[in-house]
Amino acid sequence: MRRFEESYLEFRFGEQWQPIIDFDEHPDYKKLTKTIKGSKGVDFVGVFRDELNAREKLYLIEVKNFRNYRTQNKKRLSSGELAVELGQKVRVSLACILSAYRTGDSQTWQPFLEMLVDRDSWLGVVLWLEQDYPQGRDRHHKVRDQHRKATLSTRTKEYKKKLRWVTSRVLVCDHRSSQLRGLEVRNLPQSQVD
Amino acid sequence: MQVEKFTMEQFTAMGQPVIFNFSPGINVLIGANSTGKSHVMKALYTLLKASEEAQLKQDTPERLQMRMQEKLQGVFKPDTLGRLVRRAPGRGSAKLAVVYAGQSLALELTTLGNVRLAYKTLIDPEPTIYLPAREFLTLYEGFIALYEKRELAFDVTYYDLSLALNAAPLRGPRVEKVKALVEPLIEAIHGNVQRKNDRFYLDLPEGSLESQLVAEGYRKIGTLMQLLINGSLSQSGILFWDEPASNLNPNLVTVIVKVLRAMAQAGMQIFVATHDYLLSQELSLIAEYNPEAAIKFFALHQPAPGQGTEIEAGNTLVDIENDSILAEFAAHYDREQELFLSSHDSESAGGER
Repeated sequence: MRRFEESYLEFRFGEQWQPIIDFDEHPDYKKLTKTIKGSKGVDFVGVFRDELNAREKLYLIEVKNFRNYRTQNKKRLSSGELAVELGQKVRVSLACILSAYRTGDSQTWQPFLEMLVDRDSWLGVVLWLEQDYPQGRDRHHKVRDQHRKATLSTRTKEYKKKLRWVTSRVLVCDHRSSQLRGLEVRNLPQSQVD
Repeated sequence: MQVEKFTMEQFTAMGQPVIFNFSPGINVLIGANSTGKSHVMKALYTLLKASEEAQLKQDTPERLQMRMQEKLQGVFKPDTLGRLVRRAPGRGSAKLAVVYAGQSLALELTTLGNVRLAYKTLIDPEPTIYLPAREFLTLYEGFIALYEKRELAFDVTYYDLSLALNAAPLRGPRVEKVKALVEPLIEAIHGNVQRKNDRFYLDLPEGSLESQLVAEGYRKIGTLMQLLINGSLSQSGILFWDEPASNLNPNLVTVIVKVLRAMAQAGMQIFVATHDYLLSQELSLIAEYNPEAAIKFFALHQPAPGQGTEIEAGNTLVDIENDSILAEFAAHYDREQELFLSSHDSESAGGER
């Protein structure tokens, strides 16, 4: 089990996720972002060993936690700004995997690179989007869940458009809707992180 | 004057009595197919329109009873009137009862097709318009004469609508009153509706085009414009609109929502049956953020196949547990996530090359 904290969320990746890397903490990523100012990658890159289907799956996972900050981020969501940002982060992440393999810790990045250059490999991008829902939408569990899913579904279509150049497998989810196996996520109170 | 309450019992999809306590503004009916949304609107329309016609013709009670019978037949077009009574062993009867501006009118229909009215006639009912799901502007030409001479498959709501469209445009100060309602529609399609001889045209930036040559969504908007311009849709009237969003581009759906709200604010009572996610959610948003907006939602659902329809009412869609439209959108997300997680094809099968 690997545990990470990101944006007031706790991520627990099970044994099936091997390897799993927190980009921000990796020296090769830091080297790139220091050299090329403004470069930002996704939060996690990992391989899920899907035993059910005897398949390895490469995931790029970006985390956005807009809880309590919905108003501030409303424009980013509705204008498509966030979708562009995700597309750019995926671009930087792919570049980082390549450059880190060539000039950094090759052994770490080799499985990722091998999957990236293999046309038959499975590549998925996940936007982990936690957000508040407007007041008044919280009265009924069932309806609240349906609203969340309808919203996530619409968002997924938007992000897919920005990532078609690399993959059509894009999913927007949150800790309530996710069915990603071997991954547990929970909200952290701000004080616990600080 | 508005419809306050409507009760249906053993009528088509309805089994046990179902009661609608309507809003004086906008009433939105949602539900899966065959739950009876259109039947609710048509049954209520029958009672109101027949009363309106009876008032004009100064019907005797006997004649009104006959008129109700004919109107039911004309609106629903069943093989025999008795077929509108929900099927059950033995003889039975269906009941419809409306409370309109404090007045009550109740109708009983037997399996033998007999109609009994328990009431006094509704006094001064406001003009009522029924817009069917199918656009009508292109069918208008010659329709009145044809309907009066021949037996057509179209139900009488189409004939009533053709008569309403036939009225001459308003003149004088009454034009100003409808201007605020018509202008957003003109803006939305960048044009206006015109009747020349017996045909409708839409004056659009590209020229004056026969209604047959423009998109169906534009024809629907054109119909609404004509009814407002000629006063058939009056500010105190009642509008039934079956599937207003069908064949409409989403940007026109938001225009329709604005116009529906403006019409309701002007005093019109509106009944809408819809399967459209955007239309229903936009109306709910208005209700959620403007509690004074006078919008009410009714979800029709059958607890099990073949069982009588039940009603769930709410002031917003959030209050509705059985929202069939939202449930399907949520199920779509579930299917998408399932496919995302279970797909095993190579990337070349999924991405563009």
